[in-house]
Amino acid sequence: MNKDRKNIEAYVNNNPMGENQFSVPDDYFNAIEDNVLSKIIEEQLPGKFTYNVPDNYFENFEERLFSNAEFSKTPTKVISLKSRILKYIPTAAAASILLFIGLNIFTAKDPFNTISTDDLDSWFDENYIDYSTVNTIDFVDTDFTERNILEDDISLEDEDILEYLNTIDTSNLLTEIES
Amino acid sequence: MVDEITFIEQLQNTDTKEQAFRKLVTTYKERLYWHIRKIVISHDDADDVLQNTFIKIFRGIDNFKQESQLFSWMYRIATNESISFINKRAKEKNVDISDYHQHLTSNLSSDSMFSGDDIELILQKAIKTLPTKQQLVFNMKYFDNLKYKQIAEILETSEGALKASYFHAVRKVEQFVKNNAQ
Repeated sequence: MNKDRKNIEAYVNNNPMGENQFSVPDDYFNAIEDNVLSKIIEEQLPGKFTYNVPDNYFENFEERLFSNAEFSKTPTKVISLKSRILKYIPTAAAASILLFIGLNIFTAKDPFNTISTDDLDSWFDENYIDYSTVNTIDFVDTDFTERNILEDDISLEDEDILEYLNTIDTSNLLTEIES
Repeated sequence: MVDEITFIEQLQNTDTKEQAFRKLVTTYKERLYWHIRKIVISHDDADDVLQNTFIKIFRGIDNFKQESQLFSWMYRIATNESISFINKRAKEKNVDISDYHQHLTSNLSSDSMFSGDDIELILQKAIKTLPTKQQLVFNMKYFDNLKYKQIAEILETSEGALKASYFHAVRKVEQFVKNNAQ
């Protein structure tokens, strides 16, 4: 209790002018006379708003509103030509760049495809190419070289080989040898 | 009821728009009707304006930027539609807008859609003598009990200006009632 009292005293001492943290709307004090007098006059006026509506007017309102011809004529969104063009400019620019790059990459002429057979013949004829430098084995896939086949671990059993040989129709082979 | 941001997303999503819009109409039709009715007075005119208001809301909801509350935005559309309607009618009849406002209440006593007594009829006539903006402020404050903050958002004006405007309106109405109630 004593503590509360001390707190209150401290608060009052710190706010000698009674200032507080509350605020009022703009023009509150300027308009207060108008506000109070308006209320006093209001009380002397004859109260109610005395208009009527036909029976079921509000109950049927939605039905009439949604069948209103104007309501169904909700306009489609009109987009101006200018804004439509502006909207597509970035897309068109990007597409143009891609098209330019694409055409340059994919339609660039392959120099080997443009060499005619006659050109090649003349190259060989005029000894531009030294045959000795062309190692034909380089063109063969290394997987199929004899060395690799021999070095591979081929685990074929004799029985498998015999079985395979038995499946071969030797009559055809004999016919071919005879002819 | 889903929160307003989710509801607006549903209104702006093509897949959920129609269902959400039906919900919106059901929720706000009465409040918007009465707001419009106070401006245009006749029930038939209020019905036309209300339908146009919802059509405008339906067409405009995709562009609603949530800079104000959905409620305020719809009220603003309803207000603009009502004022445009009144201005168009006044132009068609080739009369001044303030004369047309007063003309609206001239046959009110014989209108089957009006059930007020003499003093309430005088109140309606009094409101129609006010400039358009004061009529709007008076109706929204006096009948609809909207906060100044909400009215400020709907009419896109300051609260201070609204308070002054309302004070002038109630004073004029009071004076009119006093002079005509004898």
